[in-house]
Amino acid sequence: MARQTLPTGWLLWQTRVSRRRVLAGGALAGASWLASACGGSSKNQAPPSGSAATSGGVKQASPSSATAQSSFGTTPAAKQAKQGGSLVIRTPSDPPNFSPFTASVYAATFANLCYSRLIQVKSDPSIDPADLVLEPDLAQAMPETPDSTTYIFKIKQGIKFHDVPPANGRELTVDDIKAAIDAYRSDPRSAERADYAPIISVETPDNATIVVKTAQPYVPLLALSAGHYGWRIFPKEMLQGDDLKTRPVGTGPYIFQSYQASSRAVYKRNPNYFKPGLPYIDNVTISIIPQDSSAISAFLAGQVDVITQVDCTNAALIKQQKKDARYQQTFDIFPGGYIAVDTTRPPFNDVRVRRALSLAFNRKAESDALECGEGRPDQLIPSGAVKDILPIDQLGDAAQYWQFSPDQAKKLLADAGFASGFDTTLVYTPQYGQPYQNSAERALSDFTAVGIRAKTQAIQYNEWIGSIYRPPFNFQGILWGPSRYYTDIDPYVWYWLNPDPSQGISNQSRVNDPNLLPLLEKQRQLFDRQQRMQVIGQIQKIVADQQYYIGRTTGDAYTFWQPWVQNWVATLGYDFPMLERAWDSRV
Amino acid sequence: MAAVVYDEITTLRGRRRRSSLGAWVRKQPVTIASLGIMIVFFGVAVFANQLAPYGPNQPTSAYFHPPSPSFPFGTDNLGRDILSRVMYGARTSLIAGVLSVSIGTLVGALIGMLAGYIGGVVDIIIQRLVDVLMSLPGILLALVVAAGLGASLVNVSFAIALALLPVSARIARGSTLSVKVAPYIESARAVGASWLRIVFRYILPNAAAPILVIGSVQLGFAILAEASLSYLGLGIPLGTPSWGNMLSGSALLYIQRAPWVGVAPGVALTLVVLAANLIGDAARDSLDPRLRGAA
Repeated sequence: MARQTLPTGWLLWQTRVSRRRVLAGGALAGASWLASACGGSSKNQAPPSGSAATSGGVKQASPSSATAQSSFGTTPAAKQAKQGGSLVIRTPSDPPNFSPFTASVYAATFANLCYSRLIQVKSDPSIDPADLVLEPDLAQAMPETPDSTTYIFKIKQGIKFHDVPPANGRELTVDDIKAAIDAYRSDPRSAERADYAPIISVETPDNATIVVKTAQPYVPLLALSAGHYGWRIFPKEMLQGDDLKTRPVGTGPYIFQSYQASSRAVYKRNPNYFKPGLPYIDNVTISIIPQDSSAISAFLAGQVDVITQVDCTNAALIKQQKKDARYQQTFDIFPGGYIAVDTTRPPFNDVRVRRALSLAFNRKAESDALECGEGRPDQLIPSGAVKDILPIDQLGDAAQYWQFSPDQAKKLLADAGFASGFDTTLVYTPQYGQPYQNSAERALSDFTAVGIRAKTQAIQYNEWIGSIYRPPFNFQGILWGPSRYYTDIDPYVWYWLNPDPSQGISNQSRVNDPNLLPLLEKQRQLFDRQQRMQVIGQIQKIVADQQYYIGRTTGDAYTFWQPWVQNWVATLGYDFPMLERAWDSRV
Repeated sequence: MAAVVYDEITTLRGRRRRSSLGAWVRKQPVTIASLGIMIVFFGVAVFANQLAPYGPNQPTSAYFHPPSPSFPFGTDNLGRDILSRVMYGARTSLIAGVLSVSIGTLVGALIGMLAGYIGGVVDIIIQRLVDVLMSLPGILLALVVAAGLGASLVNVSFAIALALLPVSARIARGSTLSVKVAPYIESARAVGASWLRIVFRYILPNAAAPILVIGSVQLGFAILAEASLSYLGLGIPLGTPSWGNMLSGSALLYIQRAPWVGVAPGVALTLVVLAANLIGDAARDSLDPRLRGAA
C-alpha cells in the first residue's frame, strides 16, 4: 500500500515538541502578556468613576459623606412577591461550628436563619440599619414591663419546630423557650453568659407566657436578646449532647440541609413557618469564598446574589461594571477596629508605651490607603455603630493620643526606658479578610519608625476565636482587633473592660481598672439615654487616657445584591433578618 | 624540546577545552540564559538592601500608581513600590525554595540510600512510610503541615521539604540498589569497610547525579509551593514580602483596579521556576550518558 502523505499542518501537529520548546514558547507568550498589562492603557489607568478623585495615582480624599449611599432610589416599584427561586449569599469563612452558644460572627451567619427569637431586629429598606428598631417575632407583641426588672412576653401559639429530628415538627412550648434562655445565661457552653447574667429567673406561669426577671434594671436586655447573639430558640432536647454544633434546628424561616466545609451550606424553605406566606425564597445557599476578589468576580458573573463588606475601591469597580447591581453603604466591620495590648506585662503595662503606640499610628494614612480617604478615627466603641458616643475631641487631654506624632511617641518610649525601641509580636487572623490584613501590614511601618519592631503571627480562625480573641487571650504583645457590631452599647464596654473572664469575654488587654467596674455596672441600669451616655462618656475618657485599647479608623463598606433580589437591605449584624421577606423576581 | 612539546600539548588541551566549552555554550543557549536568570535573581536577593529604591514595606502616598519612571513596576494599594518588594520578595521566595529543597533532597536521599543499602525490614518500613507520603498530593501535604505548624519562613520550608522528601527517597533508593551490587562495593565490604563508610564514600558519589537533577527540578516546585501557601494565608506572615503573598494579597483583591500589582511578582516567579526547570533538564541531559548530545 502506498504510504500516505499527510498535509503539512498534520505533520506539524504530530511533530514531537520538546519540553524546552514548550517552556520557551510559554515564556514568549508571558512576555507578550506582560507588555500588554503594563502598557498602561487609559482603561487600566483611569480611576473608576465614583471612586475618590485621583491625580497622578495619588488619592485625594473626597468629602466625607454623612449620608450613606444606596441604590434604593433606583429600585423599580415593588412587585408582587412570589414564592420560589433561590439565593446565594457569600461569606469568607467556614463557621467554627453551628452552635448558638458560640459568639462568633460566622457561627451566627450560618445558623441564625434557622432560628427565631422572642423579639428581633426589624430589617426593612425604609429603616437605616444603624437605627435599631425591634419588633416581635415569637412574641405576640413587645414585652410588658410592669417594673424596671420584669419583662412579660406573650408567646404566639401553634408554632412548630422544623420537621427534622429531634423535634420532628412538634409544637414550640414555653418550656423550650425557658430552657434556651436559661442555657444562654448559665450553661458553661454559652459564650453569651455575660450578656444574660443579670437575669435571675425565667418563669412560665402558663403555656403562653414567659416572665423574665433581672436582679436590677438591665437596659441592654431587649436589644441583646433580639440581636445576632440573641435568644435563638431551639428544641430543649438538643441541650443534651453536641448536636447544636452541627445542626441548627429551630422555628426559623429556613431548614438546614447540608454543609460542606470550605464550600457551602444549603437551606430550604420551612413550609410550616409561622408567618403565613413567608419566606418567599425556596432555597438559600451560603457560599464560602475566602478570596474577596473571587467573590466579586462571582458576583459580577451572576453566580453569587449577595456580597457584603465590599471595600470602597472595589465598590466603585462593581458599580462601573454592573450598573444594575443594587447596593447599600454601611458602617464597616472591616478594616476598622482597635489595637489591644497585653497590659499585664512589659512593655505594654506602662501607659506611656501604650500612648506611644497610639501616637505612632497614622490614622490618616490608613484612611487614605484603605478607606478612600473617608475613614474616621475611631475609639473602642465604633462611631458608626453608636452615634451618640462622646467624639474624640471631647475626650479632654486624651484626645491628643489620636494625633499622628512619631516624635512624641519616641519621647514617651524613651521616658519609659525604651529609647532604642523593643521587639514584640502582632497577632492577627487571615480569616478577617484582605482589608483587615492590609491595615495591619500598613501599620507595621508606622511602628517600626518609632522603634517598635513587631513580628507578625498569623492565627487560624478556630484557634483565634477559641483562645486568642476570647479567654484565655493566649497572646503577648499586640492583637489586631477587628471592628464589630452589637445591638446595644453594653458589650462594647462590658466585654472589653470587665476583668472577670466569664464576663469580659473580649478583654484582650486584660484591663483591671477599679475605676471602671462601677461605671460599667451603672450604665447597664440607666434607661434614660442621656444619663446612660454620660456614664459611657466617663468610661470613654478613662479608656482614652489609659489607652487600654487604641482606636484605629472606621470606614464604610458596601453590600451589593443582584437586581433580581427584591426587598433586600444591608445589615450591620452578622445574620440576615431581611431574608424571610426577600424574594426572587426571576420566578 | 620536551618543554616545547609540553607547552604545545598544554596549549592544545587549553584550546580543546575552550573550544569544547565554547561549543557547549553555543549548543546550550537556553541553559545559559536560565543560569543567567538564576544568577540575577540570586544576586538581587542577596543585594536587595543595596539595589531596592525603597524599603519592602515603605509606604508612600502614591496609592495604585501605575508603572512610571519613579515607580517602574508601579505601587500597590498601600503605596509600596512593587519593584522593591519584588527584590525583597526574591530573598524570601528563594530562601524558602533552596531551604526546602536542601532539606527535602538531603534527608530524602539519606533515607533512600539507607533503605536501599540495608534492605530487608528497614527497607520495607521506610518504603511504606514513603508510600503514605506519596499518596497525598505534595501541595496538600505541605498545606496540612503548614497549617499545623503555623506561618513562618522556617515552618513553610519544613512543610515543603516534607512534600519533596518522598521523591528524593525513591530515586536515591533506586540508585543505591543498582550501585550496591557493583564489584567495588563487594571489595569494600571484603576489606572491612563499615556500612556507613560504604554508603557515604562509595554509594553517595555514584548515586548523586540523579539526586542533583531531581533537586534542581524540585526547586521550581518548592518556590511555587511557597507562593501557593502564602496565597492561601498559610505561608509567610505579614510584613515579609514574598512573591506568593504579593500575588495573594492586594494583587488579587484589586486585580481589576490595578493589574500591574500582580504582574511583576508573577513574572518573577515564572522566570525563576522556568529557569530552574530548564537547568534541571540540562543537568539531566549532561549527567545521563544516554541523553548526552540529544536536543
